[in-house]
Amino acid sequence: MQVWKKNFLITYGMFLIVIYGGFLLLDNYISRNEFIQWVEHAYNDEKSLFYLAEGLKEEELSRMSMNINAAVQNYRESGILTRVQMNTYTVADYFPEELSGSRTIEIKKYKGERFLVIRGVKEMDGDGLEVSYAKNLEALFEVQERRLFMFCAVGLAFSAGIGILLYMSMRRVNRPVNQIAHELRTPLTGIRGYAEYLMMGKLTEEDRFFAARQIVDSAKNLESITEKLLIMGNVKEGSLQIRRMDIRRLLDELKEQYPDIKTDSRIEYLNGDETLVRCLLENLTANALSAGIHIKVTVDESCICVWNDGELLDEKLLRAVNKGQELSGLAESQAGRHGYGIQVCREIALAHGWKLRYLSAEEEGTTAICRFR
Amino acid sequence: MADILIIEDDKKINELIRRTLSMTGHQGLTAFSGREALLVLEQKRVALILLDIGLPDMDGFLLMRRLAEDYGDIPVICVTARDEVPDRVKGLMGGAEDYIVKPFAVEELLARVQVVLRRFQKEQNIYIIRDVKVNLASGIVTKGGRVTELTNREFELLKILLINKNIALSRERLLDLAWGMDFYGDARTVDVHIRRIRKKLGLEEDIKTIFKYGYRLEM
Repeated sequence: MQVWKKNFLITYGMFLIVIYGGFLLLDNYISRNEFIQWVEHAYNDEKSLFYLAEGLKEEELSRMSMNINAAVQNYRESGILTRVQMNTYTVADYFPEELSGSRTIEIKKYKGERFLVIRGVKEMDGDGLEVSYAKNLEALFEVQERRLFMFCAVGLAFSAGIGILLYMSMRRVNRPVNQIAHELRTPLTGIRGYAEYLMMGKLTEEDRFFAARQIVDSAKNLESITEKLLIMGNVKEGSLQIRRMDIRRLLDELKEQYPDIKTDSRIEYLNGDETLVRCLLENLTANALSAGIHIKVTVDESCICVWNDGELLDEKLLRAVNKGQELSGLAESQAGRHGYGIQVCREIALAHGWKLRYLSAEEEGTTAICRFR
Repeated sequence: MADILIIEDDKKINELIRRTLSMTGHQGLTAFSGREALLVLEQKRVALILLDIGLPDMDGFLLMRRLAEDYGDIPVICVTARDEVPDRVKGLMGGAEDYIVKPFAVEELLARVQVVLRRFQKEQNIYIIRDVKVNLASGIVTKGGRVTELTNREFELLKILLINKNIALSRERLLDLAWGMDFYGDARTVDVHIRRIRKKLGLEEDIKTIFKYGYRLEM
């Protein structure tokens, strides 16, 4: 597995721990508070019943029984089971025997449901008053489970979103490294292969010269790639030296390098980093030359245009080129570019605050337009 | 020797592979695109295909699928700069016999070519150097029609020199190939065995000593 993928998994794993840990702590805190409130509420209910029984103690037993029964009936309707006992006499009883116990407060199961059971006992003038109270906790637990589920769902959606973003950004950071490795491999294969060829074989003088030339060419290619990478690195770091430059001189130099191209400048000076603008012009021209036969480079107040009469770029490819998407080997070849050419141009344009776009039309050729904003 | 089709868009590397193969007696046919490769295959039957995955006109994996459909009996070795595990798996699962990542050592490429040719029984088994005839399959070596006895190690060494004919092999490499990686012998062991082979088979002129490097069998 690649190092960046391992890093991603570690980071994402830690992120999941933080996210789910946080949600669980929050859920735990809320649930605990809710439970405490429920217990307090139940305790108050039980106390109310207790006071009621205490207050009715002076009344005759049948009347007292009737009043307490009415109160207990009300509780029962709201899912609360109670029993009131005076000595051995049971005043009201809606309390199942399974929930009976000796502890003052506890959670017990009855018919598969959990109940909060509170038992209050008080001695009054030699009489023993006992109130047993049981409140169904299922509703509370259901709310808490639903909330936990909701937290999990939110956590899942959140972590998936963050995970995708993290993966994409880590891949984007890592991709140039992969591309660089890929780009460097071809000239390296040439250098290593021809060097081995020179060492191994029974070669004629002509073969030796050929192999040596291939090594030199591959080394030049390697140099060109590393130069472009360095330029890209500098541009990305923002080390630009913007100054007024003689654009006509630059175009003359370009024409010296590529004698078959046509150049035209309607302006004399342009503000920009001379080294980078030269690199931009060279790359755009080199790309145009690999796509067409006739090339024209023009510069005016609004843009630098490099036109070639090559084949029409298909719409999908054009869109990809203009969006600055990574191109496949096939697409690169169709776009008439090699290695980092177009990417370097885009970075240079962006660093100057310019915008690079490609236009391609049947019978009109392809034009790279670097527009000054 | 075998006809091998090299499908590689980089002209320098294509030529490098072709030259290296021709040094060992194989004939390298070159194609710089997928379409060109299909045209070559229509005209000529080859023993092996060396395929670069990143081709200008079609995806190498797609081409491999087409090759598997139309020329399923021709083994394919992928030679590519893509070193990611998914690419290797895709290549091997797609029907490639082997997968070589650039930059590769020429010796390694030749060894892998040899292995695949052997696997498909397209490897040359009989070599003739003047009056010496070596049959790699049966292990019989004759000189002037008479069987010459070679020890196992001498035969291994001769076999390696024959397979890598016209290529200079270092003493260390010969030790690794003939004695195995585990052998901790001196490089002079190779010299002693080479001397014996030369004497037994009269190959003093054919097995060249490369100064401070190793040996090369010239054929």
